[in-house]
Amino acid sequence: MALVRKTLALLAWIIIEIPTTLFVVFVMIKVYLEERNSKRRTKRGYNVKRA
Amino acid sequence: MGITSKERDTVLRFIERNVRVAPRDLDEGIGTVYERVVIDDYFRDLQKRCNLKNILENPADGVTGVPGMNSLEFARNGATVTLSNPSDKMLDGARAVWVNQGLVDQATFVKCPVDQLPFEDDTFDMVWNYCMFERFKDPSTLVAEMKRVSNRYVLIMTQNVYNWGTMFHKVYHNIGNLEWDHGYDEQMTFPAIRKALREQGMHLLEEGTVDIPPWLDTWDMPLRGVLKQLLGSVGMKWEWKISSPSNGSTNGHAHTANGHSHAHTHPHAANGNGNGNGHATGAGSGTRKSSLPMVNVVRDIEHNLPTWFRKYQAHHLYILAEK
Repeated sequence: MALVRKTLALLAWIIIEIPTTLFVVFVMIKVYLEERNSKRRTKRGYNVKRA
Repeated sequence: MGITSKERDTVLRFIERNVRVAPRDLDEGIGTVYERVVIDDYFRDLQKRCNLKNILENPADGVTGVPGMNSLEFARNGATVTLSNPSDKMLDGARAVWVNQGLVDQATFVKCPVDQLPFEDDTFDMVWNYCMFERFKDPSTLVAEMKRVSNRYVLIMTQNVYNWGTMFHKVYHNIGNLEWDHGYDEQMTFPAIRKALREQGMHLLEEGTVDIPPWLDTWDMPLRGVLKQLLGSVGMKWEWKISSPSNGSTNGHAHTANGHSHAHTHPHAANGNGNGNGHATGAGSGTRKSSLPMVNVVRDIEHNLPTWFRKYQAHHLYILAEK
């Protein structure tokens, strides 16, 4: 019984893990790209108010 | 050797950076809220079993979440808590959180180096820290100091290097050219924690794994902002709070967890043999029920995972030792 319970828990964990991991990876890439773009903009002075 | 000045600086930078980006509305994001729910389960049980009334968190931190939140559960269940930390900014942030939670009367905030604590010997029932041990190549002076001011228990909780989120987070630091400020891989393991505690002549009481949700550990990445943005773009509102006064969704789309309402206990704690598979009984404030069914489902899955798998996928490892 314990073995069945553990196997089911493991299966459920893996089934949920795959899409959530893909989503998290997508978000991580998005965060990275946003940070990179923001750094580039700052570097080029786009965020600096000009007189 | 002890703690180097470079390590002290890195820790201080890490803590102050987290204070700067920490949410002030207690919306800590899904991963941190789930983490708090399951770790708080363990804390309630531990507090009852060990009769903990006076606790020191050194150095205190909030890591991905709100500064000073880690020890709140002990105070909710009647303990007095001292938070010590080398950063004024962190302590100020923590004080604001404790005031907000109405528990500041049970808390003391002390600024001091992590391994030079201004307390008498045997002052606290338990001294602990969260994701801080691994930041020091030689944590002996930290652990020795924790032992000195504790009258019985020392608890160390760390990241788990084997969790595969570690790899993603390292890649994230590399491509972003960010300083690796999470500590040493070799210290995020059971053998390292065991060694450090045994070197101080402490007796290991239990060790276990906690926080094993079926999603990637993003470490300190501030995903909540992105999720707010993503949901906002389709007219939905993101909210996932450890402590929400409304205890429910704000517009029908939000997810809200309430830190004052968990029913389950027993994250896997082992007694002595270190296989991480023990059971604890219901504890603390008792009849807490999560307002969020998803938390209960994920927690049930976590509690039934095989031990071998837990060791490799848990976000956190812990060892409780006795003087």
